[in-house]
Amino acid sequence: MTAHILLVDDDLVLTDMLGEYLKNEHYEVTQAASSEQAMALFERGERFDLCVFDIMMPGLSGLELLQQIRPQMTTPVIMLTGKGDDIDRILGLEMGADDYLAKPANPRELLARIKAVLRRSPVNQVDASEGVYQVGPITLDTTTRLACVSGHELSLTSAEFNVLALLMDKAGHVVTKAWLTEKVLHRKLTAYDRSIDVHVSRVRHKLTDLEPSLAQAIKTVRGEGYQMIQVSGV
Amino acid sequence: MRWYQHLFWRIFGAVWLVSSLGIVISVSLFLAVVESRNLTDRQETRVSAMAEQIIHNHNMGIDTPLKRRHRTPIWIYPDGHNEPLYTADRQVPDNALELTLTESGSDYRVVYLPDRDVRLLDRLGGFWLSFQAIWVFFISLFSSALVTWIVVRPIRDLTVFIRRLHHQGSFSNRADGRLVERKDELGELAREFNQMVDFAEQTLMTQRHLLQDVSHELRAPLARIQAAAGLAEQQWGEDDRSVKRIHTECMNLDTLITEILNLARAGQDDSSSPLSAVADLLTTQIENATLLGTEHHFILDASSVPIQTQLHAEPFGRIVNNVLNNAVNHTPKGTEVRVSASVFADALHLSVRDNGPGVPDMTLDRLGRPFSRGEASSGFGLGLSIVKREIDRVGGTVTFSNHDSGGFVVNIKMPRVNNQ
Repeated sequence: MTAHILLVDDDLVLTDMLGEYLKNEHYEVTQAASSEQAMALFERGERFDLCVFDIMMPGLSGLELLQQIRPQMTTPVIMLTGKGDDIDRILGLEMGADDYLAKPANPRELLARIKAVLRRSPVNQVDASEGVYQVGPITLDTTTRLACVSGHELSLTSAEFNVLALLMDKAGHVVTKAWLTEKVLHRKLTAYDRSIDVHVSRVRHKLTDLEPSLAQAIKTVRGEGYQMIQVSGV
Repeated sequence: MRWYQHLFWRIFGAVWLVSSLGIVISVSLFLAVVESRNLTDRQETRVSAMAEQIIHNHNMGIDTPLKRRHRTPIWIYPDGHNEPLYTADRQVPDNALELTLTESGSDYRVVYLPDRDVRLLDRLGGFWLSFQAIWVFFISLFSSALVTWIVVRPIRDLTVFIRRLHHQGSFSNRADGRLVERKDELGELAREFNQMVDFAEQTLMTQRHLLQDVSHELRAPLARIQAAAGLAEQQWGEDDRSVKRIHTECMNLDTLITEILNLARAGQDDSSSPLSAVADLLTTQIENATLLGTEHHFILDASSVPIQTQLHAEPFGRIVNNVLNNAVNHTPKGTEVRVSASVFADALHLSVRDNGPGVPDMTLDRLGRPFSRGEASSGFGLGLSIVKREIDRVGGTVTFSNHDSGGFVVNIKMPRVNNQ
């Protein structure tokens, strides 16, 4: 089954060429020249396996488009950012892109990201062994892909779920960023790549929202990675 | 500037000196005139009394002997006669004064020698040590201090503003209300200055925006070239040399655009958080450099003394990144790069030393200039100029040198900011 990809960018010459490139790689490609066009496609009921949004677009920006569709749609999204833009801020602001790629980039790099994101479909399990994990008030079931804090369900994206599952599997041990990136995002950690930090920080926020005492549950080990620590009480 | 070179002390000194001298001279002249008139009046009275006595004695047929106590020599002539009735024992001098006296119905001409007032200076001296003189002294002190303050204060305000402009490197500074609202020449100067800064800021912003816009705009065609190269790659295979070369050049061009953008951005106000954990930031930058696949050994020696500098975390990270990249790109793999940071003498000192061949001495001076690079360099020559620009903006210093025992050293010093 070929995956259906939506490309949203106002640079039509570029999307034409990228579309052709992806078609040659046996993907089905739909193009939209603006966020408004993309919204129209979604409203018509079109569904995609993956979306690529450019951030800088006249009218509704890629980030705003993402915010509009995010609560209802779980389709993975790759954001195209301008190189040198403040990626931390962009990723901190938006809540729910699965990966990002700085533009201009080699199309082969985009292809690799698309493949990596598609590979981590919800049914595709990470290395955390099957079963139910319990750390303090957090319960996580990898078979039902449900995570709860004190009985309340956590709403996590698949990447966030996988991050939490891996951290709980290795609870008490330091997990390196490189390892987490490979397991969760299916690619090597490169310099200035803050994706995994953003995913971890989102998990942390969601945990803290439900249970403030969990603010320290995922510890950042400077220079090494992250560590899930046993939370007492509650 | 030594204290006597300050405009304040110069104006103050000049005004005080001139006003004090003026008051001293005019008071002395006035006192001298008053005193001498006083003296003449008293002498006239005394001379008249003396002459009356002599005439009275003469009329009674008694000769008045010359007495020593007659300090003032006098000559008395009966009116209309040249023969004196009484004479001092000498010639009538040229500066003699005369007065007319009427005694027993006859007029007499009395000629006398004016007293020389030897005590005038003494009396003036007495005045200058008196309470009034001290009063004059203090009044002139305060008035000259006031005059000086009125003139110098706005100039000093303007200086403070210009210094702020320079130190913060931010053209958003303007001379403040009090100075600009003045209706005098200094107010005019401040307003003219603000206009000049407006002009400079606009010119600079236009240039910077042009540079940024051009660089941004270059990225769109670059992305298309890369997409086209991707399509060509699909047709001719991944190993095609031409396609590989296009990709390499695209990446070079992209790096250049990024660096130009960073250069244009360097020295601009940024909104990132203030620099706090220097050691952590250095660790992160070294991690990033390691992740880029370099095989250098990094040695970090940083004390975690907190220091508030004007440079924020983001440009600081950029600086460290540029210096580390420079070290990595110009030294053989496997060599050591030593990064040290410490706080002393109220400044943050950062030093990065590599173990490469160093830089020819004649090139050292040019390293901070955009697009200047060492002969063996493959870069664009922007990295270190960005460093220099950022550090200059916060009033710090950067020095490039060769270490005595080999290797290139970048020393950065950033002053502490007092958090008030």
